[in-house]
Formats: sequence, C-alpha cells, structure tokens
Amino acid sequence: MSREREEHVGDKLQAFLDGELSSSESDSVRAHCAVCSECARSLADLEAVRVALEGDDVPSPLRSMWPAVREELERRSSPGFDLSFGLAASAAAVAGVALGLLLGASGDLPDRMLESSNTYAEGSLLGDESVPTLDEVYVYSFEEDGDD
Amino acid sequence: MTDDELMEAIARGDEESARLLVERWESTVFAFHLRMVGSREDAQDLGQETFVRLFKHAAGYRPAGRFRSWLFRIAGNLARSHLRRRRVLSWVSFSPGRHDSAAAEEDPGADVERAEAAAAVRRALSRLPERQRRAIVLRNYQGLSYREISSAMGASVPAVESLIRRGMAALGRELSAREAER
Repeated sequence: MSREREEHVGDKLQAFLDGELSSSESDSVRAHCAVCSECARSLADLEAVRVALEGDDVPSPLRSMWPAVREELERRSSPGFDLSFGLAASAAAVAGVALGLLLGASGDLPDRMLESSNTYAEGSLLGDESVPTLDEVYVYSFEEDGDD
Repeated sequence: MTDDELMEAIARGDEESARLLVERWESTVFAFHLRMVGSREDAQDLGQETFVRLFKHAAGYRPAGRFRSWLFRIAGNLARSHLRRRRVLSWVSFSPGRHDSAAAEEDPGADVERAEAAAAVRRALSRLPERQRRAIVLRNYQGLSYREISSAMGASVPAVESLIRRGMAALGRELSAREAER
C-alpha cells in the first residue's frame, strides 16, 4: 500500500478547496485523493456543499444606506457633517507610536504594532451595549475553544 | 481611489469619500448581515450602523490594506450583538419567511426547486453556531482568506480553519439529510 493511501487527508480537504494550502501540500492532497476513494468522496461532498452555498443569491439592500448613515452621523456629532469624532482613537494611535518609540522602535512600526493599534480602536467599535464584560470574555473563550 | 485612500480622506472629514465607500460596500455588507441574521430589515439597519461606526472611528484606522478585515470585524461584532440580544446566538430563529417571500416577490418566476434548495442552505446555515456561520459566510460569500477572517474575528488562523472545516461538515450533513428526506 502506498504512503498516500495510508495517510488520509480529511483534515486538509477544506483548506485545499479554499486554496489555503501551499503548492506542495496541495500536490500531496491531489496525489492522495487520486488513490484513496474515501478522501476523494469526502472532497466531492465538500465541493457539493460549496456549490450549494453558491446557489443562494441574496437580494440587494432595501434602499441606499447613505442617507440614513449621513443622518445618523449628523445626529451623533456636532452640527454639520463632522468626522472629527475619531479623535479618541487617534489619541490611542499616537500613544501607540509613542510607546513604540520608547521601546526603541526606529522609524515605521512593525505590522504587529499597527495591528494592535487597530485592535485598540476596535474595542470601542464593539459599541456601548456590546462591550463584553469579564464573564462574557470567558464565555467567548469557551465558545472558541469548544462549543463551535 | 482605494479603500485605504477613502478612509484617509474620511478621517480628514471628507463627506464625498464617505458616500463613495458606502456605495461601494453596502451590497456586500447587506448580504453578510442577511446571511447572519436572516431578516432584510435587520440587515439594512445593521449595515447602516456598520458604516456609522466605521466612520466614527475612521481616525483610528491604520491604512495597511486590511480594510475588508476591519469592515467585517465591525459588521461581525454588530451581528453577534444583534443575535445575542435576540437570545438566539446558536439557534437563531431565522425568519426564512421574510427572506424567502421577499425573494419570491422580486422573482415570481423563480424555479421552485432552486428556491427550495436556497432556502435549505439558509436554514442549514442558520443552525450553525454563530462563529462557524460567520467564518463560512466570510469565506464563501465575501471571499476573505483565512488570514483576513482571522483578523476580522480576532481568532487564530488554525482556529478559523477549524471553524470552517467543522461548519462545512455540519452543513454537508444537514443538506444530505434533506436530500434523504425527499
């Protein structure tokens, strides 16, 4: 029995279909599926699910969103169209840059720092009522690890 | 203009750029929310709120070509909050009637078989745990890579891969069971 037949690739099939594997990993999956009917069938099943998903078209928005968005922005800010309410996030970004400089980073921040700068601002994006409490953070962790 | 360029302009207070960005992304955001919550009215409201929050925090956005992840992080958080408020995080009452009847009104001659298959897909999706559904919608309908989904969901790439793999397997079982019943 060949090596391809011995090692099933079921765990890699979805990533293979999604184009997330390296070329050598993809070659390995293809080679295995060519000789393993079980994995070939699993691959066909996953492909069928993907095709089924693609068949579900959704309608367009009920109406253009811009008028309502503009109205809401005006309602939540000072009179007139005012996008300066991102100042708090700007301050956080500036603080991030200052921290980077203090830590000895010279010039541009590495991606990791930029990501954390965005992530910091995202905390407020969760919105007033949806900022998770400590208990909820544990719930989320639990969900990520096990429930789903 | 790229999304990053529009966001920079919006952070400087340019209203026209905000309008352009909404027009560019509203259908995509609406489709995402519709698949997440199942109601067109709710999807419309959530989409509008997504843009309001996006613009409110425009100055905190770091233009690094990650606009889609940033947008869907906001959209996803709003969808999750909405589902939690409805107390149906993992077993959302999908209200397929509203979605389906709207589609039927728009296309009265639609093939019944195709419409039934689409409804079955939506029902199957709605039964997935929220995070699996979000990962699958972002991958299959919005075309995000695992890395982008990881950023949008605040999860690791292996966790995203696992969510999608388990979710797609569950969808396959659900759709196969439907086929067997027919």
